[in-house]
Amino acid sequence: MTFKHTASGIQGYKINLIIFCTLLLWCSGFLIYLFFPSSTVLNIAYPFLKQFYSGICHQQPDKCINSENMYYLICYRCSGIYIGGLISSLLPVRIKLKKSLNLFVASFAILIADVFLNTSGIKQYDATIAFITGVCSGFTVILLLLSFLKEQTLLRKEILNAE
Amino acid sequence: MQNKKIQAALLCGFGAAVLTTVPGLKSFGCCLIIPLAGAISVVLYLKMNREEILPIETKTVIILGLLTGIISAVFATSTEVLITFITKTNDFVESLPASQQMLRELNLGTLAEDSLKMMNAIAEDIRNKGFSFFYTFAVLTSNTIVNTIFSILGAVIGMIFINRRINAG
Repeated sequence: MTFKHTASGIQGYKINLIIFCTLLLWCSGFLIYLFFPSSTVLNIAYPFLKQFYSGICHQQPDKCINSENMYYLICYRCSGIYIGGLISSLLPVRIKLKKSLNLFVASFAILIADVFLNTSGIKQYDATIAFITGVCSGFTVILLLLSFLKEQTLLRKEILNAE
Repeated sequence: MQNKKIQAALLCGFGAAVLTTVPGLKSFGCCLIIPLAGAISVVLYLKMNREEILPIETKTVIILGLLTGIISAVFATSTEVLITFITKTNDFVESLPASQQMLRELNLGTLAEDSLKMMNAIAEDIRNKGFSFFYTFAVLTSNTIVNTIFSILGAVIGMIFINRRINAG
């Protein structure tokens, strides 16, 4: 969403930045353990952060990223969703709302189908597939949100010009 | 109009809070139940106003999502506190030995000891009285943050679908 040299462009850039910073803060809560696994403060905060993230993820140990007796705070699928959103918030939106809506529906249908197949036991849980479906879904959610905001900004600009 | 917003949010927030406490459904809380509650509150609000306010405004939708998120967080926390009070145990108490073992294995020194003491005090309060103020505050804070974000997101996505349908029709 970068319309350079226009009022809506500056606004669009700000929205992207706000969404990116919010998602970065959100993701840093669980991603930070990947970069500083031996940090004393982080290890002490682990049970409290685990409690915080328990509201957004089942945290089943076999579905979480793990290393050295430590399970990360959310599963592969949820990590994918937030990382996908983070990537999406960095990119400029160049597609229309209708297309992003279709992409959102398609990616979520795939994600739900994968969850259903895993839960029902038809298909075995695959961390890579869970992560990829998560990334696609997270990416399309933010894409949908940004393209909607872009359309709203353009609409408002049109109304102002007409007046 | 404001009253109708609260009614719609109250109904959806309560429903979502009840569903998020059901074991098994709990893990779908943020991904499915809360955003869906946000979207349904928008639909409900439209039905209450006999769809006279179409196309629905972003500001209205954000308020609806925010209200649904806050109400669902309050009800979800209340339900959890009530269940904890009756059973005198919860997920935190049950997973505490594993967390303590992990912290001890990491050998983190005095800071970790203080953290362990605090966690033990919370668990003791829950086991003896069935209530811990610190635990309730932590759960309420995390539920409010998570539920409001996801509820607003759900409500906005719901609005996009509703407004698209009007434009197409």
